[in-house]
Amino acid sequence: MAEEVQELRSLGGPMARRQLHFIWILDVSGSMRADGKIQALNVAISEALPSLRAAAQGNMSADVLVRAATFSTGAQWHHPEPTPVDEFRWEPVSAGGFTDMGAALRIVADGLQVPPMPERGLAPVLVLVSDGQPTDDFDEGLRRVLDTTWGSRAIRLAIAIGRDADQNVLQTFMGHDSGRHPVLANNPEGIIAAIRWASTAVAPTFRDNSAVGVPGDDDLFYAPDDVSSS
Amino acid sequence: MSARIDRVEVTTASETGATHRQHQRECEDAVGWSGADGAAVVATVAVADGHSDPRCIRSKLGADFVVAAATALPPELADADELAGALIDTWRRSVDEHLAEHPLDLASVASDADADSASAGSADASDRAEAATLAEAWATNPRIAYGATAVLCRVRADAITVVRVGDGDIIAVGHDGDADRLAAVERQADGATDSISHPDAYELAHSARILADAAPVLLVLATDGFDNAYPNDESMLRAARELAAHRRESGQPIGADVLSTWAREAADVSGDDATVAVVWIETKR
Repeated sequence: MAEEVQELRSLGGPMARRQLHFIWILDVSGSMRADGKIQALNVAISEALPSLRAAAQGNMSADVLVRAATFSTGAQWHHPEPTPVDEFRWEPVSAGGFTDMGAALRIVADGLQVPPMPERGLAPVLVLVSDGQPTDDFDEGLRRVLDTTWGSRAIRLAIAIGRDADQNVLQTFMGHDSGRHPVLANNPEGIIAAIRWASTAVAPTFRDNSAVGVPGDDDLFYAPDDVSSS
Repeated sequence: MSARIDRVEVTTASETGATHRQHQRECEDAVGWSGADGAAVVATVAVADGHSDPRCIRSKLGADFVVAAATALPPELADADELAGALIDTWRRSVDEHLAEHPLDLASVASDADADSASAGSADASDRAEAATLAEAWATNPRIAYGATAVLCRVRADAITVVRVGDGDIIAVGHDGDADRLAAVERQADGATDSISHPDAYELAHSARILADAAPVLLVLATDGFDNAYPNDESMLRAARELAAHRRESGQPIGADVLSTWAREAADVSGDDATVAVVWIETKR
């Protein structure tokens, strides 16, 4: 009988925890040089990594993979490969140039295709951080994201750095009916706190009171007239 | 002469999901079956999955009610729609009777939330908002507190009927070894599921009927804790094919230990409760 159990242990082929992709989308435009914002952002992401790892460990049904894109004059992947959160090391960014947020969303949309995204997985988390107003076509970039299967399912969060950040644009990114609002960070301490807050988005919302988060399993029940989504 | 189903073997297993264990929560699935009534019904098998949703604080009970309702359905019922309707009606009666004796108590939930938030450092405002959400949800539809998915199969001598409400799996393996999902529904984005607690549960129920001439050799009824442990849609079909081949080649009933090992692995990987019933079907032709 022991042999029988062993023989059928791999029923259906290998099992795998579901991937949860976490993507930073970071403003590194010239205005981020002012008031130590870019330094604070680098420190914040480095210091938030333990929080991100801890939150990921709390989500036993997910393998959390991290990427980062930056935008200034144009956009590029800063950490292009989806990297397990335990192996992710932050490479500091520097600031300079325009605020081509739309370009960043377009490359993120490309990065939400399958592959590198899996056929199945948990909703990805996109965190947009900006201190200014888009200098290119933001709407087109967002449309590209939302046109992807994974982009439409993504949990989209935003952090507004300073009072010049375009909060309406950031709210549009998050969705006006999402029930969430951009977090405002007015100083380096605020940036660190906001980045740490966003990092908790990979923790499961398994009957807890998390402000953000993804389902710990698939048993959440949404009725068409879901009262909790309003 | 038409075919006749005259024997089944039913094996079940249920394991608590890793996420549930982490949060010290019990398994919120249920599984059960009833045997022949001495006449038409050979067996009725049911699997239910209580929702892990803050509104569904009695979902384990709701899952138990699904199994109790399914296995007590009148033997004369054979039509798929009638079977689905009777399952929902019986479940609702059980829930309503329980609600009458044990009204939903927001205060007790708030006390639990207070204890949780004290340790988690959550804000009072968050607790109040959650309580308001619960109150509104329960006022609109108190049965939501018992929310669960349901899959059942009724094997009669002349036909098999399956009913599904929500994202449970029903897989049939034919004599040719092919596997297909029965009464399948497209998985919803973000893992949301239909529920037997929904006011429109009748419309959300999916069913199918297979005459004995075309009866499969194996049925797998499973909660989504299995499917969620796999990287694609095909894996559960493959697992069902392998179970059928194993049963056919070994000539022995599928052991509960085999299913328990499988369920435990799925519960560890998916994080969700994993519950399965496997029905081996023998048909005289």
